Amino acid sequence: MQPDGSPTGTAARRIAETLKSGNRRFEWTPLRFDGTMVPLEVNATSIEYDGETLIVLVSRDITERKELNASLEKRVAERTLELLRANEQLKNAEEELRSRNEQLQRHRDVLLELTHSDKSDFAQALEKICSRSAATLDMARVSYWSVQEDGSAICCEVLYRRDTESFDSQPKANSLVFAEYPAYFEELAAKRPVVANDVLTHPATSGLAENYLKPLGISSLLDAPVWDCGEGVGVLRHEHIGPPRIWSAEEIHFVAALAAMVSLALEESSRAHSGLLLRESEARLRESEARFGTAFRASPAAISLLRLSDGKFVEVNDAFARWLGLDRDSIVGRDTVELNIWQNREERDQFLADLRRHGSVSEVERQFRSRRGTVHTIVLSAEIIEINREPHILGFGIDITERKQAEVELRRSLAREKELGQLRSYFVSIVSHEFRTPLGIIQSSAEILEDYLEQLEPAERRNHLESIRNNTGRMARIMEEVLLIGSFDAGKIEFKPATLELGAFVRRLVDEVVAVTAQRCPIELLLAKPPDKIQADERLLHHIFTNLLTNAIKYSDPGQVVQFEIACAGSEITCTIRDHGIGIPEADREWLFNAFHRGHNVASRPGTGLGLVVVKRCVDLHGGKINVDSELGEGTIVTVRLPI
Amino acid sequence: MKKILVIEDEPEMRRNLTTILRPEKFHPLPAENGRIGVALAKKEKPDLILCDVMMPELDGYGVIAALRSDPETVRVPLVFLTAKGEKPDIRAGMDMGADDYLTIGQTLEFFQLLADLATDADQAKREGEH
Repeated sequence: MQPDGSPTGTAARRIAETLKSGNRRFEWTPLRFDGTMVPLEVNATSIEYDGETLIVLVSRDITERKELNASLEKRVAERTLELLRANEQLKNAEEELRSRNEQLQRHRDVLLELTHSDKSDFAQALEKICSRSAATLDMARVSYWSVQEDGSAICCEVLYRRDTESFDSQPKANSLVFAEYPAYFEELAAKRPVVANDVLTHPATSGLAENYLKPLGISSLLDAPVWDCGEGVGVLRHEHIGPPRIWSAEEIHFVAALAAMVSLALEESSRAHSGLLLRESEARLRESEARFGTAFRASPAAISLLRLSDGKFVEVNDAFARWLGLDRDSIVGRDTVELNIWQNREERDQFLADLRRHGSVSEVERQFRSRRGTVHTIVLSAEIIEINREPHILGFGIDITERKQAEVELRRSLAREKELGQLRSYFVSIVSHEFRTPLGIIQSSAEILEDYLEQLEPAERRNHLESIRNNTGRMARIMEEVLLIGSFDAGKIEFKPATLELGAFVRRLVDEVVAVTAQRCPIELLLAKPPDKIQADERLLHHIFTNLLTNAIKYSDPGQVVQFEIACAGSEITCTIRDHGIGIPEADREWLFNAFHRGHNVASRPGTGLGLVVVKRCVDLHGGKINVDSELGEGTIVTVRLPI
Repeated sequence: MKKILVIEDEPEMRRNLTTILRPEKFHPLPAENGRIGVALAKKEKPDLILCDVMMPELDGYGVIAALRSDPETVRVPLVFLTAKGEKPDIRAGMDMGADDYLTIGQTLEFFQLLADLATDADQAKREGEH
């Protein structure tokens, strides 16, 4: 029986094995009578003895050895366990190290990326920083809060939410007033990040708990202040939701680096902004300079710029230089007195005084002298402007001399036109009156003859008939003379000189006049050595002498001699017609050559008042001169000088 | 008999006017210019004045100005004799106090009308007397 209670078969088997192999060693734990068990090492050997097989058992108490073995085994097992554990720990540490390494690497990559990214647009840079940080640190909310201008609070500018992977649409709704959370802001003001593993217990953040952190479920918080030019300008906030989170040193460093990145972005964007502004204003300046320059140079108005203090020209445009007749370099640096531009010094002083008093003078007409010595009327406007903080006079001048002259010319021609119009209507009224009279006489005489023929004496009838005939003739003469004058005025009668035998011509003419005037007065012709042939316009001469001789006879008493003398001197002939008639009253002499004007003393002597007008036109056309010398009651001497 | 002063510088016209008036039983007073006409008007106190406009010495406007400034002659009716178409003259004459104007063609008709009126008035007067 085995001490472990196993069936005795085991013993039998051991014996069998021993018998078979001759020797067998094995352990055996017999149960002793006292009930204890003792481990034995048994060495069984089969011996052939006497035909019989004997088994010799040698046993040895192995209790001690057994105990030693067990202790050893136990220690080995313990050691193995220990080793395994250490190995595990080592693996963990390695893992952690690698993961931290990776984290650090990630942090570094993000920071590198952010460093190299364009930060000229601050809002975009902020969004990038917040979103990258949230992804890198697996943060619920990352936001940037800027200090308000009055320095009393911070206000959220950008808020990235990891749950929706988007930016909050109204971040500005969140703000924190300094005065309400002094502990928190004091911490930030000390340029230290607020590292709150548990916001509820952290001294800087516990104040924020009720109003801010708890409602949002924020458990941990890592806020880094953003500094710019030594001034706290904002806070980069990392908010963790869920079980409190222990911030690692790497994370704290990372966030601090991000805060520095924000400050960089702030600087870069403001630099970019001011650069943009500078570029814009430079461009605007260039543009306006170019525009002004073009306007200044190309303006047809004369533009000048003078220093107010000494009145020296600083700049003039081409139009000014052109007008003055000097080149620009000869003008700049000199004043208007040196250049002697103002026609009137007092006007200049007055102008400058007005300009100083009012700051500007607009559109005054003044006289200026150019270097060519011509005087021009200029419409001048000027304004005091500041250039490089020094007052200058900017002057604009427009030369209206020509316009003025044209105006004067226009006014003159208008006046002439008006005068002509008046003359024309005067002429018409005179002519109509001159026609009316003979017409009236003809009409009334005809009516009288018609209605009262029976009552009229034969002599009276003859008188009326004579009136009709005479006045018809008068009208015809007027008509003829008016038409003739009209021809002169229309330029239809031209001076056409031809060879003329003067002596024969005047004799024929005298005969004609004597016949026409019914030999009322004898004409004494005096021809002192006349040249045989002259160059003259016979038609014009005919008009001149017929009229003058007829006049002389008409205003003389019957029988009184009219003298007609023709003398030659050099290249002209002088024709004198002298009568001893009624003469011309002094008052009428200046109207001699006006149409229809007749002397007041003509009484009933027939005439149209057009004869002398015709004479004058003819003499003018012939290039000659006419002179009338008369004494009332003594007679008249008309002298005509004609070039031949 | 009604006195009619005729101021006209053209002798033939003056003659014709007076010739026309006489058979119509008016008493014409001829004057050869404005000055004489005004003097005659003051002396004779005519019932009507016929006056040319354009005359030497004193023209028609001068005549009416002289007459209208004298209380003795201020009410004497004055008719300008004028050519057809001389509208500015007419306007000026009327403005100065002329009572009417006659163009040459109207003269004879006018006088006959005057004569008829005078005859009617005389008849009425005579009938009234009977």
